Amino acid sequence: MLRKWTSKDPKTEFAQLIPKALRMIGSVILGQARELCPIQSGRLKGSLTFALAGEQSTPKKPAGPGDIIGKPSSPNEVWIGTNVEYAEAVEYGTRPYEINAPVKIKGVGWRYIKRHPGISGQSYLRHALDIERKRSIKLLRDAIEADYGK
Amino acid sequence: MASNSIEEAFRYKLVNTAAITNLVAAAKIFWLEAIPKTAFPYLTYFVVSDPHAPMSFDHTDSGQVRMQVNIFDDNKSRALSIAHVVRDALDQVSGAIDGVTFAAMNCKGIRVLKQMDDNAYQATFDTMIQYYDV
Repeated sequence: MLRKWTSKDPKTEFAQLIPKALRMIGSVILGQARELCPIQSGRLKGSLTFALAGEQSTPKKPAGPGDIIGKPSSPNEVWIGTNVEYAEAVEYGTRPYEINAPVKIKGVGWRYIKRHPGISGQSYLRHALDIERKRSIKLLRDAIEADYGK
Repeated sequence: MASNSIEEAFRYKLVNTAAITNLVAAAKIFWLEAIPKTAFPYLTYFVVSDPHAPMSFDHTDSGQVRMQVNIFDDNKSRALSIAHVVRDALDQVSGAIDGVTFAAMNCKGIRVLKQMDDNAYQATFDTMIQYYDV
């Protein structure tokens, strides 16, 4: 398909197209990560967000007030993540560990425990990325085709 | 008996690689979690994602799986050096492994995480495995 010349600079047009596609990709992976994220208080799930260069992330409640993530310096990247301190432990897992502290157990309430059983196999970010990888590539291709034709 | 899942085949590779078992005994290689009070160092592995076959056990499929490998130790540099040896032993491995065909295995970067009670370190890396015939 031939495309009508609009007298706009193709580089400028393409530069506008990339953030649009990255925002779609970020939304899709973020949605999947929120689906997969284990929920106790909901803070981790609410804090998951994405950021583009030049745009601040916007985590949802019940994320804390400081739960924004950094943003990429390159306009060709989208960052998806959280700054909640225990997010890494949930993503990568932990071995059982000494805790000696009160812990809120879902369905039970607060209990004092000496040893936490550890966290394993609850990866939500990498899993979401792998599930949505093909769809993300398709979204990018569709965005280019919509503007530039097949 | 041949492996029935990608995790079984992966375990077969781990426990039958001398470079790995010289550093971590086969009895200290676990799926998902170590048994309580296992002495350091020990190794755990599990499937993070398998988009083509979400039920990685009891499922016949082919596809690409992301496997996470963890080495736990109370010595940070030893955990890291073991992780390097394990990664080097697994990276770019291909061919039939206990009845499963590994088309390619590409290992990612290693990161070291401090455990929550400050007594141990977790050197972790992912490996992307393309496989057939499970």
